[in-house]
Amino acid sequence: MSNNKSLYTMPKGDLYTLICLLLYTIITFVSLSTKATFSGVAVFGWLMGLFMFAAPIFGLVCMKFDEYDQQQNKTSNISK
Amino acid sequence: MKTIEFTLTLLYIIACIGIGFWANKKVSSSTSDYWVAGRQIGTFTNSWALMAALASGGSVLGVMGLAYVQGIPYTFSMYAGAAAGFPLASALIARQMRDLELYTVTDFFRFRYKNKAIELIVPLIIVISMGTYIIAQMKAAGVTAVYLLGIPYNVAVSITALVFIIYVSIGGMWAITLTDVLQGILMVSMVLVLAVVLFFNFGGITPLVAQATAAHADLGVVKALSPASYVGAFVVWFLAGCVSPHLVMRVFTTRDVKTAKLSLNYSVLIYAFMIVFGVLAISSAGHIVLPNLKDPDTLFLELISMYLPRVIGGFAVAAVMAAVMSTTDALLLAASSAITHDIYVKFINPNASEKTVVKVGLFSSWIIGLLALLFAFNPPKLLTMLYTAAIGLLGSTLFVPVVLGIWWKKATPQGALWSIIVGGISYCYLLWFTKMAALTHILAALPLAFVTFVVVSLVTKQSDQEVISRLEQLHQ
Repeated sequence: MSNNKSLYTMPKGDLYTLICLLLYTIITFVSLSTKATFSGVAVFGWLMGLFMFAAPIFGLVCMKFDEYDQQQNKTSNISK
Repeated sequence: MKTIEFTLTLLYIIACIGIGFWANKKVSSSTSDYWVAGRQIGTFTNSWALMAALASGGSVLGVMGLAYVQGIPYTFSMYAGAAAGFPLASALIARQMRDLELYTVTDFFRFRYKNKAIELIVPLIIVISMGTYIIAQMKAAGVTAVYLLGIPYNVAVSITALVFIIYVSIGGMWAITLTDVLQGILMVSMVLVLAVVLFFNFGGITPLVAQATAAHADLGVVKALSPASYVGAFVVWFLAGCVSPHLVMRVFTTRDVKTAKLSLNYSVLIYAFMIVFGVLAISSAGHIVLPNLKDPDTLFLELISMYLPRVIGGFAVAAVMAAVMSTTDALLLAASSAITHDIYVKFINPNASEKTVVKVGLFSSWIIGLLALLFAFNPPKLLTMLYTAAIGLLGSTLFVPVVLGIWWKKATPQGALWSIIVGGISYCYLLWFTKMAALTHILAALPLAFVTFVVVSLVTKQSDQEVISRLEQLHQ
């Protein structure tokens, strides 16, 4: 996966995990400015609580994506 | 006499020491078995062991007290950082760290940078950070035993310390892994049993939370802390999964990369169930039935005694001890490996046999454990500050050279050395000599370390071609 660039290329699944984590973090911290609540708890609090479940689920789904991607590559290489 | 509590705690202690003696047969002459459990740990075992290493006494007692005082949003922002940090580690470091077949975090610096100054500074940072963390955990164990068993503080701390020093020193990583599984299951079960009982008593999750926030609105609001405090609390723990040796060493123990990545993610799912449902149930119920609690850290124990049968109270003692021990044993092994593997073998006696190394590891576990015990008898007043600082220091010094060392070809030894120095000094200066808001120091120290790393790397000699070639292989 290496090339001539100074950064090594990241597998797609890992890259998508990072993007999901970053996006979710940004959206959650933006919600700090809103005073909206649900059951008396700020939306920011609920989003952070949900993040504890969402983060590993992002990781697991993106791992599956990588496995699928690798299988597809193998299949296409064999058919060539 | 609290017979039930004493009996269950005694049974738990016997089980831990028994596992230590069983593990001793596997590790007595092999450094691979002693430090990384022969790299044979599977997904189920490693998931529970990782969860237990992450969840310290703070994740059972402290988190409930923190939510009771600072509110649910602040608490979740801190613990979500720790939870999101594991998938981050899975994406950024797990594959390469596992494939390098390392023993310690310093081994990575030795492979990537080949610089004697770095090889000496990194284990010192690790020993200082882990030592501080161990003292905090010992104090938590002592306070809990005093509260639940009614024995003197110094006796409680000594017993707790001796138990985990014995099984870590004789059983190494095998003992830690197996006891962590037992401890993880015990603590998660206790928190979830109490949470379910409370939800049932108050009519469900949202009715309980709504009732609590109606009685005490501060529980649910974002407090008047600066946004930087929320971001800082998140970031300190977000980075820990990539650099904290007691967590990263669990990646080294796995049988392959897939196991490492799966267990990093599964462990956080287990952790999320315990923290989210535990906090929602216990801190909310606390504000309804115990609105003026003097010591919030006792909230979990108070509710256990109110809502669950007495025999379960005995398991609660064991569960809190388990939370403390499961983290402290991993911290002790991380500190011991830094002294034995990184300093003794690399600087003092490079020709030591495997048996000698295991003996030195056993000896250093006792020395570190007993030194920490001495400090724990009379713990510093600003212990919480020191413990948080320890994790922040690890992130400020090690995160940039580890991650860029894996992903950036132009990373150089001088860049890493100066990044560690600038990150460490700026973090300590901001912590001790300025009045920045709590936990925000890393937000300044980390960018400084990053800029230093990049600038110095661009103007200094590149790493050996041999290192770059090995890195290329790791990324294929």
